[in-house]
Amino acid sequence: MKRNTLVELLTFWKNWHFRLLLDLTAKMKFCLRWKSMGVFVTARHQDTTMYAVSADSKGLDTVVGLLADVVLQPRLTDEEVEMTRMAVQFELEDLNLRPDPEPLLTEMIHEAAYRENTVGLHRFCPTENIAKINREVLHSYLRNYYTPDRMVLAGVGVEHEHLVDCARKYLLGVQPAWGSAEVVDIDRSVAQYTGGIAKLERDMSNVSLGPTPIPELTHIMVGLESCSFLEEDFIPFAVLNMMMGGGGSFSAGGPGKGMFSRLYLNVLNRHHWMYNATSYHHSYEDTGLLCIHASADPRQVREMVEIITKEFILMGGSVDAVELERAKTQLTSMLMMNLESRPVIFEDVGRQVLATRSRKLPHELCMLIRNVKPEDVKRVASKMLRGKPAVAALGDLTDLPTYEHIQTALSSKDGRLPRTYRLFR
Amino acid sequence: MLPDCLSAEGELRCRRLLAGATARLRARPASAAVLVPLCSVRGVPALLYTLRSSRLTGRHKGDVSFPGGKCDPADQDVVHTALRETREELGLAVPEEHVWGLLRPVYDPKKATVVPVLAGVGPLDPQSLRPNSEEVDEVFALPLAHLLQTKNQGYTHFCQGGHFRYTLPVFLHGPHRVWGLTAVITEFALQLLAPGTYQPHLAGLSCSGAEGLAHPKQPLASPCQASSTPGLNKGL
Repeated sequence: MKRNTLVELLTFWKNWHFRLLLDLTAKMKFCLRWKSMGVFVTARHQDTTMYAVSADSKGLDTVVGLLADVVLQPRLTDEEVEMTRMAVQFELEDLNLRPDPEPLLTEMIHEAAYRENTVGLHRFCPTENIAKINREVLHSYLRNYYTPDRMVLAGVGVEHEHLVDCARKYLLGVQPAWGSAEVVDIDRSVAQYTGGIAKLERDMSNVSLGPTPIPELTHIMVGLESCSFLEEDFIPFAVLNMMMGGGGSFSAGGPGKGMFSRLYLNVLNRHHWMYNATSYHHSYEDTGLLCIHASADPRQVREMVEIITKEFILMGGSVDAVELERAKTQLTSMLMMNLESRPVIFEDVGRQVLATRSRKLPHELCMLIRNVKPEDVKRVASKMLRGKPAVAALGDLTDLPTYEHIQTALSSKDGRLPRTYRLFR
Repeated sequence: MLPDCLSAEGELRCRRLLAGATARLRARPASAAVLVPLCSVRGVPALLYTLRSSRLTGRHKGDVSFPGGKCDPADQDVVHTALRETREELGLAVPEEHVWGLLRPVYDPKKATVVPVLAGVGPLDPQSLRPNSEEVDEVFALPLAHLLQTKNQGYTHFCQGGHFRYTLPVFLHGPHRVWGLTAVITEFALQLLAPGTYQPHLAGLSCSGAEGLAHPKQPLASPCQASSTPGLNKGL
């Protein structure tokens, strides 16, 4: 049991920390001064873990102390580990039962795209590994990855000097609970995009958790390598993602929903049997993935895949100026709207500083978005289409075309799947 | 820092180091052979790479690789295969006397052997080559100095079935990323051409018959060294 556990340990981490924080909150609740305590959040993304606290600005000192305590001095008692194991198990079962396939599909597409390395390793702990994780394992993970050069303390709405003082007081020179004895040997692997296919056959005919039946659907996700968020091409890719847009077919629509994005206009409006067509863009420090998720009835999987490959090919074609402007405006407004919420600002500041040691301010990003031209979008789309696809499929997969056919379709001029000849109809 | 590998002494040293392996492996049947062309672009020693056409199907479309291909029954030996394929893909005819020797063979996931053949092709301008557009999209050269800078080197750990399996090197910040078997072969070449200045990253890749280089920098660890203690444990 080796490296693979490491990423799964993060699942443990999230559940565990929630618990410890709740303990402390319980204690704090008895101190009336700290009624102003706000939200405790731990979030775990594919490549980062975030601990966030919101409180009244008078409590900055306590809050930084609290965070330092939580991060550096975790009390990993056996009963906590046991309870976390149960929580993780519950989370896994919940993942398999719920009708919304999003988290599972995201994990599968990463597994397919980055075969067996870095971001492609399991994010959710597989059942057989739950029992193997204990205190030493967690400590060894912490020892290797929770080092000063991989951590960022970010504050929003506080004075810089004040924050630095608190950091000095609580974080400087503190010995973490797991000891800092030997020289650490961290995994600085570069994420390697390989492309590939990940299939999960599952009977989706009875996924509804309530009395209303949900139609049986097969979900597929087709992705191609884009670029990391450090490169200049990241903004054109973001605009391209917004231009594709999409969503569920049962959307009520409305302004800002993306009703005029390509996946709605070309796919969902024209083919009533498509239940969902959405485009996602995941971007990390050394690589990125642009994918389209589609769902439909199992008998129409082949047509669905063909429609998606056609849409990918059209991405490399000409871009209408009006469409591009709409996508750029939508991206800008979504960026500004998201940056109004605290957790998103935390994440933005933290990630940017971790990766680039500086932060691009929102108006700089808006300027970069405004400067995107149709040629940029066309160029990045063509570059993307040269690579190998990554395919994830969930549900009844009898009619799914083979990976080689999908690859051929994505390299062809029009995106059509190769014709298969069936002798018996 | 960078020994003058294009000089006559450099070439003689490399030929001598590779002589033993070359004699042993030359006639042994292999699935495929690639040519590692050591050229000099504007006086700077560099390795020549090709970008495979994205119109090819198969697992390696659009990847960076060395010129080469599968061994034909009509080829006398692996050197012949490498030279023939280079001529077909790039239009570059390399005479057999320019071949310095055979590097350590590598194994692709399907256990097929790929034998790298190192040859010095002399001064070359990659722009002047007319590659076969059905197989090759682009030809480019990466200077050895660029490959030897640590900021351009990286590695990726690969796992299989929840266990750490092997590490592959990767070379970044060129016109295209060099990874996979091509990066492994590049690593062998760098170890030979610039001993002492390159830290190899390859580990855990099982290769029977690990001859080819006189003394590799670090002995390759076999995956059987997996220990039972949990947590971070690399097979290095």
